[in-house]
Amino acid sequence: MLVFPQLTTGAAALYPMQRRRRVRSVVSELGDGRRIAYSDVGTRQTEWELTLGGLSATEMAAVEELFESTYGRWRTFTFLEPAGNLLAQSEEYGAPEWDNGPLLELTPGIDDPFGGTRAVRVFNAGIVAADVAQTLLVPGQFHYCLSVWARQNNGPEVSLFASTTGSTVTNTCPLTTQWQRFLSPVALGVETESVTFGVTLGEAIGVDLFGMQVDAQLAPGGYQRTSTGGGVHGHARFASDVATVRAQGTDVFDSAIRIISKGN
Amino acid sequence: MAVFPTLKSGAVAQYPAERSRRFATVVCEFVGGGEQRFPQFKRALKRWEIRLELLDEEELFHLETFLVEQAGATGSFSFADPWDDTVYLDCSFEGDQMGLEFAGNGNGKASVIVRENL
Repeated sequence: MLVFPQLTTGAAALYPMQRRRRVRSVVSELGDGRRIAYSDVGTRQTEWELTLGGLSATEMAAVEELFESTYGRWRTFTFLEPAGNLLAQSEEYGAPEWDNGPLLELTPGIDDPFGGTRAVRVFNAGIVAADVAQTLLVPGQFHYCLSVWARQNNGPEVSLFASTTGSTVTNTCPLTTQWQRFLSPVALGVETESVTFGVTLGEAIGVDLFGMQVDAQLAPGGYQRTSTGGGVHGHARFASDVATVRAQGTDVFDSAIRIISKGN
Repeated sequence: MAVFPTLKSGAVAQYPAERSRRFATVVCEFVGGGEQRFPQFKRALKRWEIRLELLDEEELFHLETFLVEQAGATGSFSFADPWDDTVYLDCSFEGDQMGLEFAGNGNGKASVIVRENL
């Protein structure tokens, strides 16, 4: 699995970072002043400019190794959004992206911690524990942080978990009747190509959930609602055929990398 | 085979030093947003930007003479990568000129770009 490396600190990127979204519209302006516009959805593109400053030789070598493996702009790699939510459909737990237990009952339209009604009431009608979970095609050896707002309905606790082949991290969180954002740092430490993130509910347990998020770093960022496209870019590319690294001193390296991902 | 000259310290570069890796990819983009890509190089070619300071006149002279001997970008020489000591047997100057600065006794500056040939 070719993937853009994470720094040894667990950080996904360093400040300053730039992200640019690009779409294309085909616009015809007619003689009578009317305007006809179409969105050319096939050309949508996201571009990142990462400033990599003060990297160690090991960290910079990982970036250069990926560049060699992709032959510059030729081959694709997986890039995890450094400033966003990796999960897709972060509030639509009934969407196909989610792999839930069969006896979970979802009730949308519940009041959320931000004064809206975008939270979901989840009730496990089964006699065994069940999950609200989503599997991401991301490396198991990276650091992540899973977070979600939750409050008690009729259950005292909820478990946040991350799981991959050979390793699982679980964090049990006691609930109250007030919304709280719960965090679970994830360091699975095994080289796999997918990780399942989610929440486990015990039998006959009901909780209100809102805004599940996975960050590719040690701590959560501000919540970002996602729709069909999460922050896992499986077909990213280097934007240039040239990668320049500057050695500022012993084991201190700088570089600036541009990455593009089409179709999201 | 000509060899890129070293300084009196034995080094060929000083901090900060830049090294680039270069590929060449042909990209054909279609109207619908699709694309085809073709790699032109079978491996990355390296390029070193070398800035040298606090050189004495003898060291500056050696560098200048070497550029003339190589006829600038025409010649080919071996170059030891200062980052990892790997010796690249076919390298050239990227340009045909080298600027030397004489700021004082033992305070010369020079900068040059060396590129690997395929």
